[in-house]
Amino acid sequence: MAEIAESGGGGHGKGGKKRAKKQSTRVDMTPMVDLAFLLLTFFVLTATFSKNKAMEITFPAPPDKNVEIPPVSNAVTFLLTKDDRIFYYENEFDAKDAPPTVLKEISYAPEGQNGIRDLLKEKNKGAFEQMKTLDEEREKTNMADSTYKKRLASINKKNSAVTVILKSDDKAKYRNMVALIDELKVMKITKFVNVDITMPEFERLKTAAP
Amino acid sequence: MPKIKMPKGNPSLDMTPMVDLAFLLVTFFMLTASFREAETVTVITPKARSVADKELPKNALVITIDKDGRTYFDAQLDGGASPRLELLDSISQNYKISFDDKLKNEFLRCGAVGVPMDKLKDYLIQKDDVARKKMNESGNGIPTDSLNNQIGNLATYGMKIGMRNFKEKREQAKRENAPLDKETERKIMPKLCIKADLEAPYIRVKQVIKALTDMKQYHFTLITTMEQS
Repeated sequence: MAEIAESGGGGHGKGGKKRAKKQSTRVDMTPMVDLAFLLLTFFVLTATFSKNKAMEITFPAPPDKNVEIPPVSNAVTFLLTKDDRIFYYENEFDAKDAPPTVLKEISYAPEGQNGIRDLLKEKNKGAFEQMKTLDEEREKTNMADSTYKKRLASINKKNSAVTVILKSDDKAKYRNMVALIDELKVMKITKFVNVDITMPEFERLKTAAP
Repeated sequence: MPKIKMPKGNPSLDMTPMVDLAFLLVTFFMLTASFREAETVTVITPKARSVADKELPKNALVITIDKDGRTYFDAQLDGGASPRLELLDSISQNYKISFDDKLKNEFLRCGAVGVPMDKLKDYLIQKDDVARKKMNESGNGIPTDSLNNQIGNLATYGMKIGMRNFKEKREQAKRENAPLDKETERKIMPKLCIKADLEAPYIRVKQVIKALTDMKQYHFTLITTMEQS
């Protein structure tokens, strides 16, 4: 494998003739190669390529007691429960002058399959269109990043933007919450709050998902 | 029948390219490998799609929630050992526990802690990580209830130290006529991270978030794994 050609030194004969020494200088490299492959296998098997990433989220501060909270007009409440199931209802729960709220089941299906994303897209239509025009404007006019973010935030503050409320019973897993927040992030929805479930909601969820 | 003549030459193969490649790969994997530090708690974080370009913060307070819902706290703030020591000082002042130098040293290298503060001394006396892990798993983690909101307190102490260091850094940059831009500022600002197991009960995560919002901490970084699409 690796040979070092050695021109023989020494061996001065009578006539001063140099004679090359014919000796093989081969080194047995098998152990080294074995080790190299062993290390290679070790590092290949222990290497982890999945990197953790950060997902930033801000929860609203509790409202000031002196300020009256305006009624929520465009809201979706998601109720998480066991077996990764998720239910939702729109606007108020058991509103006055309306039939009792029915919980509808929904899935995390991708676009076009009546999943959460389609629902939110429908509910957030007003804000979504404004975002679209903003995006177009940004492409045309080289808008600064800070301006873009400010405009985006102001769109999200308007009443036309959907408010997402998250509630859960005691059997839901953390991954359900992350999946939902992930959808919100993809849809650029920022009005999100997690609150405790109320007793009637809990009972109705129990009947919906026994 | 004539005999098949075996060729008499040397049957050795030139393996140099293969060995070269093997060493190249060894070098590559060795250099790119980042070894995980010994952890007292292991969690599998959930997958998310929307986080493609969000690097993990380097200056962070990490609240870990394992799959049984136990809460752990770890300070990984910038600035070497001093922020962690300062945090321990705050703990010893507020919970009236004193730590000697040996225990202080132990606290520097013990990673995430999952015991109530009144047991912290016992925890640090334990001889190794295996014993600590056992102690973590025998309890319910750091209390989060509103009467004994230790996780909220720890986060507050940690954020105080982190924010002060951050402001100092910012002031120093200003003095040197090289003020930090928004992007760098966001990068070095201390962050409150929640690293929960995907199987952790949501209700526990919610309690932790409640404990933190009670202490006026509203901004969180959830640690997730990027989903390959």
